[in-house]
Amino acid sequence: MIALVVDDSRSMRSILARILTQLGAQVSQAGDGKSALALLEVGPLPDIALVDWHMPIMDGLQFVSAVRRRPEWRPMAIMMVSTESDQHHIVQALAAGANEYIMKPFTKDAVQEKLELLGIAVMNIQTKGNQGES
Amino acid sequence: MTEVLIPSDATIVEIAQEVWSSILEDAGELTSVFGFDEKHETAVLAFIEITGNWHGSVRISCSVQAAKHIAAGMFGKSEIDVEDDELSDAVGEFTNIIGGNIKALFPSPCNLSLPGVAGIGSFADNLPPGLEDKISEVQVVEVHLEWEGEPLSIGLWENK
Repeated sequence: MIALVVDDSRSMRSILARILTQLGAQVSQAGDGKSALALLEVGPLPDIALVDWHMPIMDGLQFVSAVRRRPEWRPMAIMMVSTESDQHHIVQALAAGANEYIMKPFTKDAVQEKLELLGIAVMNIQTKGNQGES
Repeated sequence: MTEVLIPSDATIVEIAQEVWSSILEDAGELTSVFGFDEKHETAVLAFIEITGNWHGSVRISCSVQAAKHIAAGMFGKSEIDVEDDELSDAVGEFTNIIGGNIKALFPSPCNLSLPGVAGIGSFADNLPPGLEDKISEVQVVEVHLEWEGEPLSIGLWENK
């Protein structure tokens, strides 16, 4: 699995990258939507992008819309990772083209469950401190 | 007008404990306390603004050691290796997650700002950027917590 984590918080990127690595992913990171689009242009196309909502320069919703306008990027699944929990935001993200939505805070188990729902193969690599919590 | 119920102390504590245990590696226990001894000096300050059907801010203050523990737990490194910019980023994101979970308790629509973080001092004499113009806010909830004796307070301030 190749995963892209898009979040303006380095600490949140670190948490997600650690979880995804434990699930067998190769992880790249971007601090905003625009930088993430630049990574997609270079390739390879990730299997999944985990995207924060509120970011400077280009927010998560703008990133999702931009990705879905490019047919060659459509195979990439997109999971919003956000503190926005109301129905309006979830519907808005799914309508823009996100495939899944997970609220902060989350556990490793919750991320794994969402990836499996998307049909993305994961493997559990046991490391120090890997007890199912992020 | 939409009726707004202010979250209880117990609800804020529950949110803080869930966020703490979910996102930190080797989190340890965050316990609720009634208040702090004079010896406690909070030094890292953060806030996030909520606007919409409720207008105010969530303000978090904690000791440097507690902030280092948050950063270490989020970055997966030891506390001694935490850099200042990592500490600021981690406390900001911690505040963002707690603020988002508190915002979810208010009637929709509500919006969350990006978090602001400042260091060393008190909210009275060292406001994080963006908090200077919030002098009309009044505190409606304050909870005190401790991790291994290190203080962490969460306040809910309403724009009246």
